[in-house]
Amino acid sequence: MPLINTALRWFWRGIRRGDWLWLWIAVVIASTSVTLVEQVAQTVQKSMLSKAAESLSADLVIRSTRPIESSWQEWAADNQLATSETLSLTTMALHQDQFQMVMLKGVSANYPLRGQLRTQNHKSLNELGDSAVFADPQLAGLLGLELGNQLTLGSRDFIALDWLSDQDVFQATFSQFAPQVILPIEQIDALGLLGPGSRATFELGFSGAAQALDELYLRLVEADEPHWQIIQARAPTPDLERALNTAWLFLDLASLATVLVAGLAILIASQFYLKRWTATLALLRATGATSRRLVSLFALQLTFLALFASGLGILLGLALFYLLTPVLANYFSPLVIAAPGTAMLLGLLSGTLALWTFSWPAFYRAMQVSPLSVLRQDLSPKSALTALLVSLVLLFLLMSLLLNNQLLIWALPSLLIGGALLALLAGLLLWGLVKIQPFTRGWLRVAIAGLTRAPGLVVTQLVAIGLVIFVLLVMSFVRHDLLNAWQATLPADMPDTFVMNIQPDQHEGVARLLAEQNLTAELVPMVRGRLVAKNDQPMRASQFDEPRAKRLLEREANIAVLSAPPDYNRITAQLPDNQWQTDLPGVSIEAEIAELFGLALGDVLTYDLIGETRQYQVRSLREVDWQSFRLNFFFILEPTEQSLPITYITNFQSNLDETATLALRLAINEQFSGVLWVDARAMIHQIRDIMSQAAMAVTLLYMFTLVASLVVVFTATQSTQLARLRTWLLLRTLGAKQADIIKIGLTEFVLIGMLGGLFAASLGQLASMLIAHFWLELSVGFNPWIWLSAIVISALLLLLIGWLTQRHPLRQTPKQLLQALQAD
Amino acid sequence: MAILKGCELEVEPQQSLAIVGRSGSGKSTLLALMAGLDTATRGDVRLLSHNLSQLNEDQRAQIRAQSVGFVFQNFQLMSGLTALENVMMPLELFNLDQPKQRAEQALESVGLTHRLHHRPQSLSGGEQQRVAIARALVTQPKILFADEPTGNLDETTAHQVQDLLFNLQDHTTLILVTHDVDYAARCQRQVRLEQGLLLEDQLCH
Repeated sequence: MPLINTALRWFWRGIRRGDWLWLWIAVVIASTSVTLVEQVAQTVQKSMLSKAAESLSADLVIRSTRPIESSWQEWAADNQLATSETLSLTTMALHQDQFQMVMLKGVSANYPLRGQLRTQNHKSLNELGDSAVFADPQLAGLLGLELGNQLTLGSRDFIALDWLSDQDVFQATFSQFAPQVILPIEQIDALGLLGPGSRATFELGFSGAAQALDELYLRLVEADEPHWQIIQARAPTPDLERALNTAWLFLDLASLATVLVAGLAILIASQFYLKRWTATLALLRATGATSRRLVSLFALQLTFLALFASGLGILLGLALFYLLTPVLANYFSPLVIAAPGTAMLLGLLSGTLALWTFSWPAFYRAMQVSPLSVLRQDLSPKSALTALLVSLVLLFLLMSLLLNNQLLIWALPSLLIGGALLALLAGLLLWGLVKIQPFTRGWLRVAIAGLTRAPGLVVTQLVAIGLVIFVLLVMSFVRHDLLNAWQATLPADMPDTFVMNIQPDQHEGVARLLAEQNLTAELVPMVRGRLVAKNDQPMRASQFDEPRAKRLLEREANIAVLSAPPDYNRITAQLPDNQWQTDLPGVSIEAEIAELFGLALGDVLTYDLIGETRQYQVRSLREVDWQSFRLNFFFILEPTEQSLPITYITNFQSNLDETATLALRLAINEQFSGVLWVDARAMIHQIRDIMSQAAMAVTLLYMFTLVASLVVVFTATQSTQLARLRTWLLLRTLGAKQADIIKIGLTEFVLIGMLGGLFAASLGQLASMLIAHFWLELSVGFNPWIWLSAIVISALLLLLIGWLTQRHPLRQTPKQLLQALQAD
Repeated sequence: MAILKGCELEVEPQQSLAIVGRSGSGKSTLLALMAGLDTATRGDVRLLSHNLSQLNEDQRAQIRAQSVGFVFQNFQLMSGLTALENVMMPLELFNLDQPKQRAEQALESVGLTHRLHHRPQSLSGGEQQRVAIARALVTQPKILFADEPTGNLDETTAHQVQDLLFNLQDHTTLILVTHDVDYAARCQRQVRLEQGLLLEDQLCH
């Protein structure tokens, strides 16, 4: 206990005197950033999960083409999971001699498990009884339906009780884009619409504790029913999930970058304190303190420092989070604030580990000091391999806190090899500067001399500043690419309306109606069909493990009939002309599907096209951007003279106002029966909404890393402040004017900024070459803009920091400078 | 708190003056005032006909640049520069002619021709102080201030440095702060400070 008391007393005295200032500031940065990032990330994730769950109406859904066994409901009940059922099918609704294709959705009483079923007049499901429905307000325009009117569905009449509002359009297939009508699931049977072969979709939704849901998911995957689709409320669509995963990866890396950057600040600060620690320890040793006692005393002080600074960091992180909450609430609706426990724990652990990882080498060196140092100041302790090993282990622990295992495997070795290369590179840059020094004169030479006065510290400074600039450059580029990539998936001119099931005799009329409204739309011929054989070998669902492959073989798909693939598909492989089987027409296949089914160029495929069997030779493979909302097909068949049961499909961006859109839709409905109009505007709007939320999260974190990085660069420059003040005092004494000192002082900052920029640009060039070579498989050349921007940005940044931090000392008189030196 | 009280002191051109006294007696403060590094709260300091109390910081710096040289106890060489560059530094900083030739000559005069391109870290204490003396004299100052210039040197080296300083400052006023009695005795004049008071002012030769 006396030892703890002494350590506590010394620690507190040190805090009050400002002895640990830069160390605890760095630890505060590390733990603030981790706490904030973790809390923001968890809240954003929870909010988005909640939104996704609301969209799905449950946490997990089985969607099936057949009724779902009741045993799953029993299992759910046994495991405290709530369930709800829906049954959907497309049918014609009749109102006053007007027909409209609708999506009929029967729902159980507790639907939805997540979110709310919203109607314009706030009616609830149990008010429907057995003779009322909720209807899509589109039916008002399409059928002239009003609330209280009769609507015939199948063999029964219903009353439209209320209009549905805020309908969710995610998870929808094309047929579900038809206006919705909701009624109790018990009523569906009585409509007489269900029978063998009817295309109904059965859904069983689950909600409850995450653990039970995880177990259920595993059981469902294990059950592997081919007619099932298991949907989790992670993200509304798989493509969006991929985009969001990139965002989470970015957040993790940004958090790690901030901690490592703060770690560099600790490394620099501890070098800065090494002399002071060494002197104190040497004195204590000379007065007879045992090594064990000293280790305990200093270790305890570092621990107190870690707890103190991490505690401050956690509080600051949470305070910043709550300050950000109103901003987050604008972007994430509903905002589900995560419990702060995990973020606080991570903040504490990262702050503590960062302090020990990066201050340990200096601490260890100080411990090795000889008592003789009290008498002879030139006896500085040497660094040791064991100290580095301890730091490596701690670094591993720190990184494992912040990264998943997959990232950790490559991140740690890259960091170690990179670290060694970085120090080498920084040393080389400094060496280069020393070499050009003789060719300079006057204030420039003095400024360069300022940088070479403590090469070890300047190398660490360069690594820190260079890394910060590099991290900022990479984050800027990645963020820019990420946002651009997301933006590119939803371009401004993206089609938002689809018209399908146009019969050949309706082609001309529909095209005319669209043209009259100045809508640019190409009507693409297609046929419904199924792949049944490859090279005369039957292809059956049972031959494949992939659920996607099973589904595609079991169901009919839309197959285009075109003489050439559209120009927005990229051809990745083509069969040479001399291998063509001239007696067969060609087919172009989407590359992923070709891989899924093991199809190759030259294969002969047999299709069942609504009862007609036809053979085609694979002539090309294509890459398709499914997120583009353009008309895309797995298979594109070459037209032949033999007729096919073709219909046409088209899509376009509707720039018409609501009235004109409804008029056009009604005209098509009236004149061309069976033609289906799909309005995807709401869905696109919702996707844009979620992407902008993710972009916002990325931008927020980027800003935080930027601020943390600036603080680190600031700390790095402060580590040589004492030597700088000494030089300025000397120059002032020798007669240098204030303007000379300002010139020398700021030049030193600009020089270190330029070197840091050069360092960052070298890293940037290397990183872009590696990424291009190994990841994108592209060749990359020398990019002068990376170099120029890195050097200019870095020099300006350091000039700004120099001006901000030095404007006071630069204007001091020799007497004030002397006082500042004596005070330190 | 008054550090110096009622000091009245006039130094003749090319005179060598030693300021002696115990630690804390105000020696360094007096030196700082005389060199214009600090200003007196009361009274005037006149340096080469300039009233330092009436000049601003930059004007005082200009006088130091043109007319004053300094030698410090702890040498104050810039570790990033070679011996030659350290000596060239004031010449280049103040845009004076032929900095390299003049610096080489100055280093030759202190016997360091063979150490021109060495950095301070690779020079002995005596050599470092000789570089500092060369730097102080290279601008041909009218006054040379030396604050305990041999305080960090062993006896033999200290004597060598003293000889050098006296041999080289023939045409320069030397104001030396020291508590080495023998060294002070080599100056033409000695003043003794005690608790901020000028107690003794005597001519030695």
